[in-house]
Amino acid sequence: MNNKMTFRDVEKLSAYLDGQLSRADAARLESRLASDPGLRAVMDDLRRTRAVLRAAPKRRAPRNFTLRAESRRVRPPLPRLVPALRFASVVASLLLVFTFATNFVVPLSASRSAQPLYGMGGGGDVTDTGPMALEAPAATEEPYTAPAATGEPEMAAPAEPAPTEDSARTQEPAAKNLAPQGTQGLTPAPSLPETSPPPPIPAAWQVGLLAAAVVLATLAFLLRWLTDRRWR
Amino acid sequence: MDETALIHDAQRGDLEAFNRLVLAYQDMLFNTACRILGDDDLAADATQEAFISAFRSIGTFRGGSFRAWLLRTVTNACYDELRRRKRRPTVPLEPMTSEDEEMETPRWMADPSLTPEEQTELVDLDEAIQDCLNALPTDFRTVVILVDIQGMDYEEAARVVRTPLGTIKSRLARARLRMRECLQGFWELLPAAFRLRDDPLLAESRV
Repeated sequence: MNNKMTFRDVEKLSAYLDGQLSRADAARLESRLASDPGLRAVMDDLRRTRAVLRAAPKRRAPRNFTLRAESRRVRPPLPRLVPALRFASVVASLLLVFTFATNFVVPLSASRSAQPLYGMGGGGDVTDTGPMALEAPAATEEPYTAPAATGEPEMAAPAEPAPTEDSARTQEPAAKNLAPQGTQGLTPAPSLPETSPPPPIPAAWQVGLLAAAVVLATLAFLLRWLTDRRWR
Repeated sequence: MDETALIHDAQRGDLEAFNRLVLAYQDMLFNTACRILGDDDLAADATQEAFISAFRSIGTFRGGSFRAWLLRTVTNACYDELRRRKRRPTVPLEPMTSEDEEMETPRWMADPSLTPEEQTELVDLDEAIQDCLNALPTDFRTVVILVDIQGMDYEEAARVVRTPLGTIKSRLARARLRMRECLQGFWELLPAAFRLRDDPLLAESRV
């Protein structure tokens, strides 16, 4: 056997000493130990080390650590419910933060038509520039497809101005694709601006979470206060 | 009175019952804290902190090994202390209670059956072990203290440090390896003190 020993070997030797190896692993290790003096030497050292540690003098407490009820630092056991309430309150708070984050991020990647529905102050500002920038390529395509559009049936032209200009522009590429299908594509077209981006989390949910967080934290506090009061 | 009943009473706010548990476990907690922190005064503080917070949160104990649960509170208190020490490298010694004068005497070697020579050897052994423990990273140190010094099994140690069993095995192996390297410098020093009690131990562990 060679002298190269990996940490896995040491780990196995250490576990073997404590009888923590499976029977198969122990048998394998024993046969290696029989033929590898290097492994045996490490094993003996580990055993010796363990024996030294086990023989370490035990220190005894220098004084009694018993608690006195008069001490202000000693406080009564908290009811089990308190940590549970605290935990639930923290979870509700985290969820609340998550809803704000979602409401901020979702409009960024959604189309602008969501803004009038959800007047998110900061989020709205960003979305104003966001989708515009994103749609820039579409706008450049516009002149390129323009001839095709003019070549389209004229009925399409009067119908187009009906929806708001911005939304019509965003829908144009889609409309173009539908164009060959003729005028039938026009009827759904005015309804397209109505479709909103994936709706952010409603404010009612946020209010609910906020209320839950506050109520749970207050309950935890009250329960704690009552326990302390009763014990004094 | 059995432990379960004492715990149950303590959970209902019975301080007397809790104090009986304190008396039963204080040596073990203090010894563990001493080994982790390497300082008797800080260890006494950590032990007191641990008992105060254990009483406060005893409601969360739901059976199993009470010893492991208590050791968890004391290791947490020690970790807090170590973090504090890291932030402020020089820790001023805080005065303890009026009973503090007892701290002067090395209580752990108060074994009247030992000759002065044997006691000196024990001091050497103790210092060598503590020096080597201090050189270990905290996580390794705690595991080796729990298993080799406190005699816990892997499962119990895993519960104290809330770590998977595999991690305990590997930390323990690493810690023993490092302790072996470190103690090697003391082998010449140790055996004289050691042979007195070591041989039966070695023989036993060889089985």
